[in-house]
Amino acid sequence: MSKIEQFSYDNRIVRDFAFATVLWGVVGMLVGLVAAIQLFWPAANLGIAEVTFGRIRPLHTNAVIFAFVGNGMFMGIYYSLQRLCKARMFSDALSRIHFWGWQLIIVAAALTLVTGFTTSKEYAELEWPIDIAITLVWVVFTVNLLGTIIKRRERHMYVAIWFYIATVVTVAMLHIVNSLALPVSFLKSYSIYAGVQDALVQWWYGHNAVAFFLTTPYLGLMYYFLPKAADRPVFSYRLSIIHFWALIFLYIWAGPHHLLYSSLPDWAQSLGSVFSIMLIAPSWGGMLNGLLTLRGAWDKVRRDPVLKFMVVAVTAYGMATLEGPLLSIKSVNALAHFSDWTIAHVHTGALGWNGFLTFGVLYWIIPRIYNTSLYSVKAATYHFWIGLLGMLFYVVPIYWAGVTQGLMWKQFTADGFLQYPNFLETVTQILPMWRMRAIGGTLYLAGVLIMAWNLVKTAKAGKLEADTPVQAPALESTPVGDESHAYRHRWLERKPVLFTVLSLVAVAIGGLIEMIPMWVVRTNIPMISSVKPYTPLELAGRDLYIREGCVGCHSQMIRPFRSETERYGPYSKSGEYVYEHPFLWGSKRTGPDLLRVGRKYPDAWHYKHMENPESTSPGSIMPPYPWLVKNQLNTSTLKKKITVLRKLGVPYPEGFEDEVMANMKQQADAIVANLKAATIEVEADREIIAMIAYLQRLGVDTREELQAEVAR
Amino acid sequence: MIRSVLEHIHGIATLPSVALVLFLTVFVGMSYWAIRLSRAYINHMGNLPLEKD
Repeated sequence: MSKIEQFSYDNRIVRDFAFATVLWGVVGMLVGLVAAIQLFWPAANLGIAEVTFGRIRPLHTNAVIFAFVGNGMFMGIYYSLQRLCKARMFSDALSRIHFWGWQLIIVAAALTLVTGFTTSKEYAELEWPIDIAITLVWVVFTVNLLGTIIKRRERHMYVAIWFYIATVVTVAMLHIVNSLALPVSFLKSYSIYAGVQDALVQWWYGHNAVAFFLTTPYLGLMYYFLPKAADRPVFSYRLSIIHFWALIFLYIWAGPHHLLYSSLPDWAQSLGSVFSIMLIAPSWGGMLNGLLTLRGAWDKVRRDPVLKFMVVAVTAYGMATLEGPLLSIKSVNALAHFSDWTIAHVHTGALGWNGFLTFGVLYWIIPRIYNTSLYSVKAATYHFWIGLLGMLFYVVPIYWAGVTQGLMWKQFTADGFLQYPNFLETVTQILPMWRMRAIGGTLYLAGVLIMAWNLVKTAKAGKLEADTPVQAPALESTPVGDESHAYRHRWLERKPVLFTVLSLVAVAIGGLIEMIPMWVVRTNIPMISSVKPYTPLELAGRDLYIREGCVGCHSQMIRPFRSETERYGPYSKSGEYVYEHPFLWGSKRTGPDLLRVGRKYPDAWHYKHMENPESTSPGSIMPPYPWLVKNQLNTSTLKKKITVLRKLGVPYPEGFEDEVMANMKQQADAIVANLKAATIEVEADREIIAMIAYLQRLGVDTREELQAEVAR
Repeated sequence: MIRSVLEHIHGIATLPSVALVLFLTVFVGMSYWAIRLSRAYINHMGNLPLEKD
């Protein structure tokens, strides 16, 4: 008989993460709402660069993913892990470092994103010092998690813990590989990858950020909190095992479905499609497992808002994971990609799955750690209905908008011309849907505010039980051979370190098979001899394009469809992107593609358009960028940029960095002269000049060659 | 153009097939393992979250 040990669960850390979840949830959603309003009313930025769409869109995504869902994930893990392991967290100090480290990272992220320090890679926008901080805090979390598992008093690891382990190892791998960059200065770096390669690494990361940050940890929470709230075991534990292994093995391969019809090689696109479609099976296995857990308990759902939230969350998981594979079918993707359909899809996941599951868990945890009952069940029920309504008001119009615009882009007249040659027409058509989306978002946020009030009231009515005293027998080592009878051969989940390694192997295989060929291809990517590196002024302009988040609305990837080549010019070739550190293909067209915009309009057009888009494009919803005209271009790091890019393989000749200023002046003067001829007076050292230089370069290198090819 | 380049990578065409076979092997093995688990173990595991604090 083993000794009974006395210990306690740390509830304070759970409380801290819970309140951070609510706080950042409100902030992240509010920023999302402001961004949504700016889309139909650009003046809502009040003319302030820091709160303009291009900068707050990544702020919204980062806040919701890493601050809201991140803290929600940690809250749920710290609560459930201790109880499933019958052990206090490995180290209270590590718990605190994790908590405060993560909050500091969030604040640093918010400050840098609005001030324009960004890598522009979606959901990986943070610059290198913050990336390093994330890595360190993640290591702290991993040690704390694995340490707790190793010192556990329950012999077997419940399936939720498997999902947590897969999360920590995979997120670490994804974050490090995708963030590799060479610094130029304290808050500026260039991705070590370029063009097609950068795109593949980025979407291997981006897709799996969805998989391993928004999905696997939350599945772990589902497998713990849903049975807890329903007071019955999960429908099928066997199914949960299959769900886990099939899911983590398949997910990692699916990234290229973000790059269908792009310049990514066909085999990689097909690989991504096939694995994405196969993902339906484990995802729906998991969803059904969740819903069937409630068999015979549906009367509880009627009464209990916690279960209401969880049922909708699991259903939304099912909807989003059916839709994802469908969107990975090339013919569906052809319509949906670059349109609002993607936005609707991710919000089904974010508002439904992550949001509602977080709310359910919050309503479940807070009364328990405060030793009281929920202050108002009625208010929680209101929150549920207003949230659900908000979600529907968000996604339905946005699906409608996506399909409408996607079809309009592709519509030809009977004579074979584009029916809507002016991109703006396809935007103004869907503005009513965007307004409705903002109403949906407002409702959803109102629900969250009701929840915040309700949880604060609950906390005030009770008293935090900082440490829950527990007793449990110590775990005895089992002699070899003892496993053969009652519980035979569960060696794998008895060995957390081995389990961790195997999870890593499962996810690394997919990543490596996908990426090694791309690395091998690197030197073999079909070079186009006319493609040359950017001039210093153009490079500076490109960095402004990155700073302002232009990539959030403008793609630089023309797909091989007649509807796109008619509108934008010859489709993209991988060789056109070989010097693009980072790639700027974009994933959403709120404005037109810009890959071949160079020399399409005179310099003066760009000047006027950037200063006030409506002056050249009446009805445009692009925000004005008057600060580009006012600001002096910062050239202090330009030399360093050239040397860093040379190190990354961009063929700037040795010593070119010493000619940077002269080269830049010459090009700027030419643009100033052009503008002057159009009666626009501007100094050569303003940011707008660099921006014009960059935009006028786009697609120019390959124009003659590609036009000749088309003519043939 | 892309195709001709990828032909330079030896055996690239078999890569998706390798991936598929690899997955199916893992899937079948893991399903077999899951199905063979004893009822007592499954019950114990399923009830782990339900234990009181």
